[in-house]
Amino acid sequence: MIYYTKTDEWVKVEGNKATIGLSNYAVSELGDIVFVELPQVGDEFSKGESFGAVESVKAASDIYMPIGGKVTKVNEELEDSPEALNEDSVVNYLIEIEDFDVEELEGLLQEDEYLKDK
Amino acid sequence: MANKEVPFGLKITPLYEYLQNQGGSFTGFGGYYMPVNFKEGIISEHQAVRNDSGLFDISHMGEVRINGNEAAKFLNYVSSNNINKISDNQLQYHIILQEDGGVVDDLIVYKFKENDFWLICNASNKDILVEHLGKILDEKKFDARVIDESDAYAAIAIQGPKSQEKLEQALSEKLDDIKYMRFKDVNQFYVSRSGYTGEDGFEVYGSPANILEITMKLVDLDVKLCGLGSRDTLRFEAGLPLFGHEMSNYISPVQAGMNFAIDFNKEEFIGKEALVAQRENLEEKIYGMELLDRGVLRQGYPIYDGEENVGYITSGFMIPGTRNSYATGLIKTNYKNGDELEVEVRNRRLKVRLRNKRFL
Repeated sequence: MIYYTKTDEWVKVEGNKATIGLSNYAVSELGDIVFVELPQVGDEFSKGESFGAVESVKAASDIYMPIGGKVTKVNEELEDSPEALNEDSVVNYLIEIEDFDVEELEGLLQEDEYLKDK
Repeated sequence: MANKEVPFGLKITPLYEYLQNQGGSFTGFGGYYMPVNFKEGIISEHQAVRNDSGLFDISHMGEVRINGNEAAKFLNYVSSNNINKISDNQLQYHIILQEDGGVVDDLIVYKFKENDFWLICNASNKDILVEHLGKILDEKKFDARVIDESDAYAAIAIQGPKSQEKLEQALSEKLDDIKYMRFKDVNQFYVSRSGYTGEDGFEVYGSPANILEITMKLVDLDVKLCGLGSRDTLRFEAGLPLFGHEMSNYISPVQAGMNFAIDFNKEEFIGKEALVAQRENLEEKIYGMELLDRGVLRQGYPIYDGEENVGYITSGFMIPGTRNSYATGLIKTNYKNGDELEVEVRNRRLKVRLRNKRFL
């Protein structure tokens, strides 16, 4: 099950890990992505905290945690190929986390709810 | 998807509906609702202009006529440059100054004939400029008039190495005789060889209906539609300043390194004293720089030499299609090209090396 935030991130929980990324809608609005700034493995963030940024040709945008947790993996491919986000930013996740609280998923949006206002 | 209605208070250009149908993604700019980019994005538009040809709607820019017996004298009083240096059917870059040397607007002057000019100004500054000029006319009693003709004209820029052959096809007219910064009448259009991209190209002014028609012809000839996004990356890469970034109410043309457009030999012009003082003792100026770490520098980011804040970023981009990240910044003048400084980006310090500001 994939959940979205109003600030255009998504989170997908699988067992004790969760992956986090940017919605395809957000990326299409940003345009060509040229740089992605991601945290280090081991960094901890709480829900709503900024954990990185994406830079399109024209602007920088912060990215926020849909739920809190500890970073276990970052998508290093994006360092050399940030444009992969323009191809599919749901397949191409940003980070993976653990040590999260599933109750924090409450209040996030399901895909159809998220897309309703777009 | 994005809201297709024009936001309240914004104007549209005569090309709006056509550009909307061509897949433009729009934003408010200088009081107009303008395309930022089309479907394939800024990078492909940037590359089209560098390698082939691209078309920009520039109808939002103002056309302000100055005429009357003392039009040239008046223009030379309000502007940094010297209009007497150009001939009929020639263009010249001018900077309209405040008393303190700050910039009211920078613009291109088209000289139709003796004492008859067009000022092509930034959309966001047009009303300010017209008011500024009107006020000086009142005070100084020059025999001249200022007439805002913007609503009567639409305009496009065709830029890139293939722009001449494509525009010649669309107009059925040879354009070899239009040299750089010159213009002439061609079939109800004014056509100049000029632009804001660092490439060869043309700017075409005409009635809204005629401009729409020629735009459609050019798109049929595979001239790529481009938006404000690539207009900004192209001008930046070519080292051209943008009002509100490298020059502004607070950044003078001397600080911006635009001395070629200032005629210090003119006896009098608004802002002269301030610029002369700056020329003798310049404390801050615009530098170019290369980002040595990964990232992109944006306007307003602070620049540091150790713990000392020595300036701020005025524009910055990763050049489309490359991993080269460059910026311009207003910095204290005690540095030279090759020196390394730091820029604060989201609470981190990134390293930059100063260099010239033409990145092409």
